[in-house]
Amino acid sequence: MGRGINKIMFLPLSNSCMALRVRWQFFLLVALLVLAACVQAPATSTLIPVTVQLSWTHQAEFAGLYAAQEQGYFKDAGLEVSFVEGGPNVDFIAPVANGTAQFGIAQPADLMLARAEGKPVRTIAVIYKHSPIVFFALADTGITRPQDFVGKRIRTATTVDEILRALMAKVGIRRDQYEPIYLPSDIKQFATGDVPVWSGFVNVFTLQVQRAGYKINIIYPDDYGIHFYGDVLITTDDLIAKNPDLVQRFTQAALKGWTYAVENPESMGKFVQKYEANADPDLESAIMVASIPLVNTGEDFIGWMQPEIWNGMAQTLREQGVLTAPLDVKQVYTMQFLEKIYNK
Amino acid sequence: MKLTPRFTLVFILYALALLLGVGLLAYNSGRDSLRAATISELQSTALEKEAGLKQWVNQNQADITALAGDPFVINQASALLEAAPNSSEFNAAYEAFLGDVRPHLADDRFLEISLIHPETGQVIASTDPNEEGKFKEDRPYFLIGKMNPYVQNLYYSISLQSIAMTAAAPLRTPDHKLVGVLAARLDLDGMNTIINRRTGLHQTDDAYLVNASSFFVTQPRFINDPAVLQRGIHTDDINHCLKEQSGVIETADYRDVPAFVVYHWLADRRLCLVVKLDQAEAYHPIRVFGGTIALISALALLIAAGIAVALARGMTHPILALQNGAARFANGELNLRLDESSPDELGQLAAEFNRMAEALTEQQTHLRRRAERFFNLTLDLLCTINSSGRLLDLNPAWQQILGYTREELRGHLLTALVHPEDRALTASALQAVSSETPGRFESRFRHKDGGYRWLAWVIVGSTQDQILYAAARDVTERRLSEERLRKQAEALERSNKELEQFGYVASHDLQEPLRLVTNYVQLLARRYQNQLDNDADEFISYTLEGTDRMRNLLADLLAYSQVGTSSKEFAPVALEETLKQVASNLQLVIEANSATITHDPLPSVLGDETQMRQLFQNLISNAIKFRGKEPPRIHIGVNKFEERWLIFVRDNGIGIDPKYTEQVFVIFQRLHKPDQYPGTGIGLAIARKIVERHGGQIWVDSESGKGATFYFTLQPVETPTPEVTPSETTKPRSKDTITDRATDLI
Repeated sequence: MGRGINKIMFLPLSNSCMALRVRWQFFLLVALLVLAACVQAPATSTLIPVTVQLSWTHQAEFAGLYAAQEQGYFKDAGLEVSFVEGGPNVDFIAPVANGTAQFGIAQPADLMLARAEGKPVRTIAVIYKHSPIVFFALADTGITRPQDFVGKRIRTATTVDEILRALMAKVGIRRDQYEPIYLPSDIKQFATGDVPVWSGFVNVFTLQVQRAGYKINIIYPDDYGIHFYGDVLITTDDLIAKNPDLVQRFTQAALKGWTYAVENPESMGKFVQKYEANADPDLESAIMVASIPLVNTGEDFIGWMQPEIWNGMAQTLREQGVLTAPLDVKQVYTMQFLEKIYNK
Repeated sequence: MKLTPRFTLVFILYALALLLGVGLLAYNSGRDSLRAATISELQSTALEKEAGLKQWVNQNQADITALAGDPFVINQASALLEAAPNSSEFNAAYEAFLGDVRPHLADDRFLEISLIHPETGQVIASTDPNEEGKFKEDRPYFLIGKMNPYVQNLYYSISLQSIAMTAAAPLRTPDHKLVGVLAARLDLDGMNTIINRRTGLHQTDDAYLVNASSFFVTQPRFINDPAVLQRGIHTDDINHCLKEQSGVIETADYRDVPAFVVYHWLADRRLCLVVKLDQAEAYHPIRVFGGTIALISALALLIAAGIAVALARGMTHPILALQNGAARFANGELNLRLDESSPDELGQLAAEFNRMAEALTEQQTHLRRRAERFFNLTLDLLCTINSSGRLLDLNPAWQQILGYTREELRGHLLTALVHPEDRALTASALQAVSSETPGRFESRFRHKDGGYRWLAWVIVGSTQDQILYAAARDVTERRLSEERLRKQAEALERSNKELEQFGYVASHDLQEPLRLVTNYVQLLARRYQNQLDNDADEFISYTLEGTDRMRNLLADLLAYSQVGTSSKEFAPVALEETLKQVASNLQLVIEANSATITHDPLPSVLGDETQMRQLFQNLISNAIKFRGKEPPRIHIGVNKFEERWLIFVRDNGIGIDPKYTEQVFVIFQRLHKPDQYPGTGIGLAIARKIVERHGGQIWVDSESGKGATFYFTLQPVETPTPEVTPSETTKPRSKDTITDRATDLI
């Protein structure tokens, strides 16, 4: 483009001797302007505003996104990204589905249910390849496996329940053989021992309990055939159809951010603090350290997804009676962006 | 630049260039070969590690395969599969199975061995009780292990909270029934040992495995935090390697330190093996070698410099001696000779120098003798005077002329000898002397006998030695005769003036009584004519004639004396015009004598217009008067003569006997009787006086009967004034001479 402009400008000038002298300066000027325009283009005029709906309040769970933001990966991709916090009782899929936010962080179960309800949302990459949801009990209770849950009170929560049910089903324990109880994540209550089996995010509440000094046994649903993804990155079919380039750029920058987070977990504390002033940077960094195996299993690229897992999750949800509407699992996710990123 | 440093410098530069060239060559070839050696060493290390890794994996696979092929193990697995859980058969088989496999943990190869249900993927039995009951249904080692022996790459085990690597093999009964999958978690120490094993030869060598997602699989040496599956690596080598290539690259390692990196893509493991060594260390020997070369070079240079200095000294020392000798010779040490013992060119040079010195000394002695001879021989006084005016060298003429011995005068002030009246002049003349213009003056010097001698001095200065060179000549005689001449001239002038005055007074004052006498004699003649006797009448007539002649004489005398007393300024006079007027005045005489007057074009001259007219009138009327038989032909011509006009008046008259040519110009001198040619004889005298008053000369060239030519010179109008002509020095002098001559003639 710059070349074209040069030609148009120089042809009439090059007739006179004067013009020859001016020519270089003009060339330089035009070249500089073009260069400046190229450099500035993503920085100012064409930065595309993008909103990301988070699934919870600001915390290290979203470290990779903060890293992408703070390291300038989003900006380099021509994106002006802003984050919208989620929280309790927030439907964080709706804003994505209705276009308020272009991207969102969701749990696979919620996503599949939304999809089954007809919301055109789709996963473009997985962040946590293992669901961070684990069960744990004080070491001295001797509870080491799901089979030990029989007759126990088990702390559960909305996001946990499907996994609890599936896990119990997997090891052949009926619903009436244990007592699920809805409780907030409260270390004091855990410490009382009234509820011997607790559920929680392995990288958050479980970590806090461990950091508080309690020796615990952790039971991973993953070890018992419950293979659930944790946070997945979602967008809409509409955006994928209309602006795949934008989705591509966002996905690539976000995964680059996550790679940075995996490689520099100690930096994440202060990143989180930028968004949540009350955050404890040490804790947030520790959360990130604990999250590394969930994000980077060593078996696949960061963000990579496997159809079996999606099929498995859908099947589990059906078996639990959570997912009742018909759902084509292939509509729940797309590999097109990951394949492009990793040349697969 | 002096010879020694220059010589040394050239020598050192040459040595430096040589050493630098050789050193660089050696350094570079050393560096290249070191590089090649390093790379091949890294290559072989990489190959060795690759082989080791392969062997370790194969060994593990072989071990698990062998264990899975153990009929006892197969039987127990089969039994466990068949038996109901917690039944006695189950427990027996369980114990037997663990009893069979547990020994295999002993060699630290396997950390844990599990039996996995071939359909559900659940762990039926494991050496780690915690594993029992878990599901491995989606694990690659289970899925693939059902079919073939398989070693799964490093992965992160959530439940173990650590990295793990698992080998698996199917358990098949002899009739090929799958009764389970035997999975063994490998002890990674074996792999780490292979990868991390170091040759011990280097400090910065490192080797590590990187998986397809760019994460470390083994711990690199220089990262302290756990890096396995936590740290990515995105160096150039990894980027190349993950494109499934192998090769060598010189690039920054994960510490950003330049390194030699050999990377092998392990296709069957889908891992990248990297072996590297810091370039700094690889090149360390060549650095040391370079340092040694530099040290040796410095030493060699030092020695070279020493040799160069010594050589240069050896060469320059005699040259310096020669230079020193030449300088001393130049400063007057004429008998100085150099050592010519050196057998080389320098000795020859010294000998040549000595020969030259000899010749110069001889020549100088000769010159000095000659000069001395002349110095002693000359009649003039010669001396040198120092800057304070004291006499230095004097020649013998001083004694002859002033009577003092040379020793008496040496060291005395020159001015002390000078006549007191001349001292100021002498002193200032000495002061003014410079090297360019010689000073000239004359002053009186006291003779030893108390008298004074006039000395004419010529003095030049010398800027070199601040000495005045003076020569003087005794001019006493000339000064005396000049003095005499001057006095004579003064006396002559005076008497001339008196004479002129006398002539004028006489002629003027005598007219009055003469007029009285004439008047009364005429009265007497008129009144007593014929009353007295004849004699009386005759006497009266004679008296009247006498008074008449006297009056004429007096008038002429007056006219003559007036020529010298006229105070009219000289002005340009056009002689053509003058001649015209004269011709007009003489018209009657000319016509009466039928005279013809011709003339050349006449110039203008500087003079008294009246006297010019008189001059021409006198000469022309003179020419007419002394005519021959022929009618007079008079020609007035002009010539240039020594910057003046030479004018002549030529006639064809009776001429003048050459012996009277001078006499004709004397006042009242006559060559003929008055009755023959009337006149008092004043005309030519006046002509001469006019010409001489105008600074010219007049003379006549004639022979009796052959006409006469009167020549005279006059000053031209256009004679440039002395101030503006280039030939100023000659003209006044010629004028002076003429004046002088005129004076002489008066």
